Amino acid sequence: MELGLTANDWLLAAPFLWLAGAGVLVLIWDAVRPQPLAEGIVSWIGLGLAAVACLPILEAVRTEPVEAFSGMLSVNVPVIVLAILCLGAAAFCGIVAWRSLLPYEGGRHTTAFWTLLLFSTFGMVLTLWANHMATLFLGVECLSLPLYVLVALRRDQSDSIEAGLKYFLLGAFASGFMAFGMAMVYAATGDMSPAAISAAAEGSSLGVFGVALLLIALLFKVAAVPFHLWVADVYQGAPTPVTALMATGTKAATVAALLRWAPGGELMGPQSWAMLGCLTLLIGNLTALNQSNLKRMLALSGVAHVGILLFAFAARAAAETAEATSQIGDTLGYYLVAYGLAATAAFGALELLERRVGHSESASLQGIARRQPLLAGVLCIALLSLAGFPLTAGFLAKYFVFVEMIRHGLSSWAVIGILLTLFGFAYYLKALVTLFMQEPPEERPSLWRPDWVATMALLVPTVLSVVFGVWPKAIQL
Amino acid sequence: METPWLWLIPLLPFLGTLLNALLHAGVLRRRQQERDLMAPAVAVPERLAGWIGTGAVALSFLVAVAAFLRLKALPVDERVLTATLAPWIQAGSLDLSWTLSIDPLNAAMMLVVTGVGALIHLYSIGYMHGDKGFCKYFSYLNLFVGMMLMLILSESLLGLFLGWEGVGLCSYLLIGFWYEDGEKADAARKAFIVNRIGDFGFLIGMFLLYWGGGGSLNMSDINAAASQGAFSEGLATLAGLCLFLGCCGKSAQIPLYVWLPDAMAGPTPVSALIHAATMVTSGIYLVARLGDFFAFAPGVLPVIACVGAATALFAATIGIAQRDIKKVLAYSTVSQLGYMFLGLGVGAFTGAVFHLITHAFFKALLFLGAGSVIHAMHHQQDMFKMGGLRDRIPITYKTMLIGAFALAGVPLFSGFFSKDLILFETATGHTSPWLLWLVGAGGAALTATYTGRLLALTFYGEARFDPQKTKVHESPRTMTLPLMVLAVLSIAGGLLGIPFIMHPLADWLDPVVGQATLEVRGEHHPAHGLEIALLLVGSAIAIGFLSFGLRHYRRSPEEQRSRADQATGLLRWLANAWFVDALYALLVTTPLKILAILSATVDVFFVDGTVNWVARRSRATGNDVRRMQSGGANDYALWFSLGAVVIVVGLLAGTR
Amino acid sequence: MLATYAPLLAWLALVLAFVVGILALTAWIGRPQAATGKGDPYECGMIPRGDARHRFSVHYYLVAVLFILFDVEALFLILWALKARSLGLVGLVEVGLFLAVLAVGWLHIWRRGGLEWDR
Repeated sequence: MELGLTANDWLLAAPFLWLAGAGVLVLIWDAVRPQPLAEGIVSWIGLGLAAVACLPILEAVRTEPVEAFSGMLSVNVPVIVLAILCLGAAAFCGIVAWRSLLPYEGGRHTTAFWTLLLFSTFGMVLTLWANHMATLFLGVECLSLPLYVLVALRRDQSDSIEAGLKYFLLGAFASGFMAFGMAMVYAATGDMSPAAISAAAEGSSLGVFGVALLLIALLFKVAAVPFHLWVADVYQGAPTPVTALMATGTKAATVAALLRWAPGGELMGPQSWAMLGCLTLLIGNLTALNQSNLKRMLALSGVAHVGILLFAFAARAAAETAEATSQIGDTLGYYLVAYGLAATAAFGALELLERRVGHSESASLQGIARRQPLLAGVLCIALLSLAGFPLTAGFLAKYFVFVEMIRHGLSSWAVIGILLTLFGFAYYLKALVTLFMQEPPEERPSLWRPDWVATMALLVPTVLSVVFGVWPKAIQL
Repeated sequence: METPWLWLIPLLPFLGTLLNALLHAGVLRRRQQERDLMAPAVAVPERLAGWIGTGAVALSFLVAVAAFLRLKALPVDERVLTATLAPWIQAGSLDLSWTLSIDPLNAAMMLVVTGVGALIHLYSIGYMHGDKGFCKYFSYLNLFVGMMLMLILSESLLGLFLGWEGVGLCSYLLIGFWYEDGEKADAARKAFIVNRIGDFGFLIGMFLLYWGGGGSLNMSDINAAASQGAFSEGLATLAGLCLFLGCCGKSAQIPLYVWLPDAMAGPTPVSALIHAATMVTSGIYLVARLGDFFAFAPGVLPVIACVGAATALFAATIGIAQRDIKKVLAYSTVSQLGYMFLGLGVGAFTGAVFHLITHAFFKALLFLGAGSVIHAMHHQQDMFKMGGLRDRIPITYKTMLIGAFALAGVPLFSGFFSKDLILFETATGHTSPWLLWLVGAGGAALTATYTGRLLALTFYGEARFDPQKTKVHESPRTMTLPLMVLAVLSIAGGLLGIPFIMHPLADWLDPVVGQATLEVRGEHHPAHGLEIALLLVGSAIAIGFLSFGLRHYRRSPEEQRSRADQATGLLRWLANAWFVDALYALLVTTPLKILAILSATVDVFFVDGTVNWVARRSRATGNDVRRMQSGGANDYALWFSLGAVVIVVGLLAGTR
Repeated sequence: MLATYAPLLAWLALVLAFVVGILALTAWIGRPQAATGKGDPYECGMIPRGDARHRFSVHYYLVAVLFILFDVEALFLILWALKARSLGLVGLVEVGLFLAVLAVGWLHIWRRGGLEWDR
């Protein structure tokens, strides 16, 4: 039977087929005979096969970007690497959730968790690869809708439900902006490919209006100031494994989408981007400074990271050659990988701590260095990488961004950025001081069983953070 | 020739470090469980740690021997083995990789380090028996050997510097091994800080070399660049002097030698391994390895020669008035290192390396022997409280006698050949030959004297302690075996170069240092008559002054003791090491302390004040900004809308 | 360019005029008549008058959401059906896959008891 699909179509469709197939299989399994372990295994296999399916694509795009489905999807190297990161984050989320989130309420939500996880990952990959506004919208919605539910999965905790509702309301608000913006860009240019953005930017004010709305929606998704306010509440309220997924996968997918769909220098100059980045970095850091809850603190630190990513957008707006632009794309990709690894490790470690102490206030770190040296080490490396300490991937990521800024004549912004980054060290170090130098108030009963599988899984992003920090070429962007 | 397994040589000791560290962690955990923090590292982990540590270094020695044989099988002018593990730093024109390379020079060093190292590890099993930090000790000692091998085998100057700092760290850790004793901790700190001054010079020198000489930190490239005249003369001199400052720190030369005598606070095997045989010779190794460069840099080698000669004499004078057996040996080490630098300075690279090797044998032997004496005397180190140990610890006595003969330069012992080679080359060199020779010969006379004094006070005469209270006993087999091996080496070491008969070491090193020697000394002019004359003079000095020392102190130890107790006149100056420490305290430490107090004041009031103000302000601002985060979804939507308006208006305005 | 949309605007105006006109006409012609059952919901739904804070079953929303889902499915099917011939076999396979996935979802809802009103 001739389905009219080209070889490239099949190549790029393969990861989606595995993800969706696994999701549907889990649903059927649950309908026929509920079996939590089997559902988990099927999901992991699906994620793994999707990642394996990404490898031939990575080989294919080494030379030039690959398009499929008449240009609805288009991929290049950083996008594939980020897709693998998203798949890894989802698998990690499953491992960490295995002993905490899944058994809750007698395991009633296992199926929901796995299918939603798979579909959300599906959305992330689609968002990354979308080269058409329709696929972008589908991707973003497919990413967000399952997440709204995942965030609210702990129905016994008001925080969780509140976070889910807030995320949903504001997300729907942003989706409206996105759809409306796309419609207007289409009305102005008759085109729905990324080229339409620059065409609209140069054309009528209708098109500019549309580009602005699309930009606003994407800025909401990546959590740039002033659209970042949901982040703290949602990250804090969500079950921590889901937070880890959001910090890594969602952020990577949406920032990459912003890179593809944001207006370039002709509409929004480097100064505007840099100002937006600076504001995001400043407010993220300032708000994080006084947080007593670690998840909240890390959420806001993520906002500060978006600020630095926006600095890279400023450099891109200033870049003149296609080569320089693609170089900045690689820089962004490296940054997202570095941030994603550190955030995954940090939230994963917090999840394990939370299980032990019952909350994620910063006091939960007291005395961990002595009782759980491995966990403390993981958290320490993750926080140092987030702070941008040398010999971690986080340091090199920031370094590369600032180098790009200086190269494209944004030295003064780079200096401001570096100062603000150093300023951000304050709250990471505060957490480290609590971790290593403070004693717990009293001896806590040790009812806690160590989760060795999750702890070992934590080591993967931690070790990679150091490896990529010493040997950045290993990512091969 | 690419030989990947060379990496085994440094990696085996590192593996030992890791295993012993794990053992130590196990011991610590058990102590915590048993709530007995002072419990010794009990039998099983102790035995295991000792054999792991010794075995790792011994295996490394075997691999080193294999590498040596492989190297020897190659044709003379192709004798280089390399092993590249991975790229390290690639930034701009700087291209460094993790590369080991073995040429005849560092092959010799490598054999000494692993061979003597293995013997000293074996010795330590007996010496450290029952210490509560036994596993930790072996972990540090293995780390030291690994780092030392990195220092020796690295192809790049930066890799060498990594090892250089690594052995410095191990030295610090081991000098202060018994850190509960404040004095020992202070000694460790002193060693570390004094070495920082030298390392500062090293770093500056390294930057100058990179900056001024074609942008490479590989030592073969630097030598090649120097041979082709890529450096300007002024820069080469400056870089050479800076590197030599680094060598002064690590190899304890004037003015930075002061840390080495204090470093005797560490366990005695440590003194033998680190502060006599290996680490302190790395300065000599560096100068020899960069021989072509130093030969080119004008004015540097004469400075090295003068500093070396001055140190050789100066330290020997101090050695003659010390009461602590280890202090005598420490000043003797400083003095002997001075000879090696003297040799380098006059272009006798082979002579310097020859003396380095023989010194490694006989000084390690002497230190280990001293350790055995101290062990036997229950940690008594004052020689005036010993005496008459000759029959009580016969093996130690006999082996130490051999070591002492080698040190004093008694004919046919190894030290005789190496020291006289240096003195002969000095006398035929270009830099004020006879003055330097006189200084060197004077130092040799003093060396023989204090060696005789050490033997006389320790082993001969009556026992000046209560034999009932202090039960003297010979050390266990693990300690005497290394002594015997080293004693054999102290005699046989001379076979590496016997005048007129055989000089295998010189032939072996020729591909590495031949060019530099030729550059400094010009064509070789045989002067057999002079050489024979100097050999005879050297023998006379050694035998004469050694027997003088032996007789003088053997006869009247009590009188000497009372003189030492009163310490008047010259003796007082000698016993207090010419008051150099006090001078440094006055000239360097006091001004620094005043500066420190001043800057502390500025820091507290000005810098801290500013920083605290910024911190307070930002916390307050953070609190203000946090209000944005009200928690109400409608507030968020409001901010969202405001932001949306700003962006839409901004973009629309931008297109107008 | 906007001139092309003129008929659409006219149509909108007509619709508005019709709605307003009908409402005005009924208010003018008819008489207000309070009778029992007149304000009640037809067959299902909430009672439109009264205190807004009364309790009602959350199942109502569940069913509504599911209804919308399958409603949208019908929408897609109509679009496909219009072009079924030209889409040919490929179209048939695609729509079959779509329905299959939907069927799995429906199966899951059914087995999980999402369709049972009394629970």
